[in-house]
Amino acid sequence: MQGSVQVHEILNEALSAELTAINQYFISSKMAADWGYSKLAQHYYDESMGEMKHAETLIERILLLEGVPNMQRLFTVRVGEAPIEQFRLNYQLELEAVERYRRAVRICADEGDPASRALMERFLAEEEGHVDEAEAELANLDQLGQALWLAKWT
Amino acid sequence: MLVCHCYAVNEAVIRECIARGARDEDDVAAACGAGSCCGSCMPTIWRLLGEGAEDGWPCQASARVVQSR
Repeated sequence: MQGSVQVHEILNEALSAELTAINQYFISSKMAADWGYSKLAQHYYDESMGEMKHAETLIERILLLEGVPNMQRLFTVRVGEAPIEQFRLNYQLELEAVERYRRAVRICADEGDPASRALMERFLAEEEGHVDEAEAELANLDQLGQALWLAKWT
Repeated sequence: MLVCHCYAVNEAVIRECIARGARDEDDVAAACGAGSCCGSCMPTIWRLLGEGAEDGWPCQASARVVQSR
């Protein structure tokens, strides 16, 4: 089934972002474990696997629309060098994902592809959930201070 | 933030190279190696050089930098 060029492009852009997120969360998880923050490591590991599920669905959708999934292209993988910097960079990744899926919903609607649009809406809602969680954590960080906030992730 | 993964160069080192006189990506590469292997971090290096690029794909960012030059 043939999809429009604009839908192929935005699905591939979303795939690049998900592949980037898989790597960024995966290295964050391993570095957090190395620093002794085992709960933070588990949180990032789960996020990485969640992004991989998104990537899987995007690849299947691009193939269904007779496009070519680009597995080679990544955005900048922003690796923080300390736990709090890392958390903020991962939050930035989620903010960008929300912006991208909102744009993707509009493009799929404009191109008359409601099934792709429904997929983008589902992913948008999930990424909005991640942003909300991250904002709650950043508020906790502000209220508790760095030492207490970090202590809850050990 | 780690910028060049190939040579393990972080943002602080690149900012230091720029503060010491690096004016373009070749100067940065000569000073610390960053950006001289796979090229994936070029958009970030251009951003740090103040060339109006954003983190992203090297191909898109280079088109923008060429336009702005």
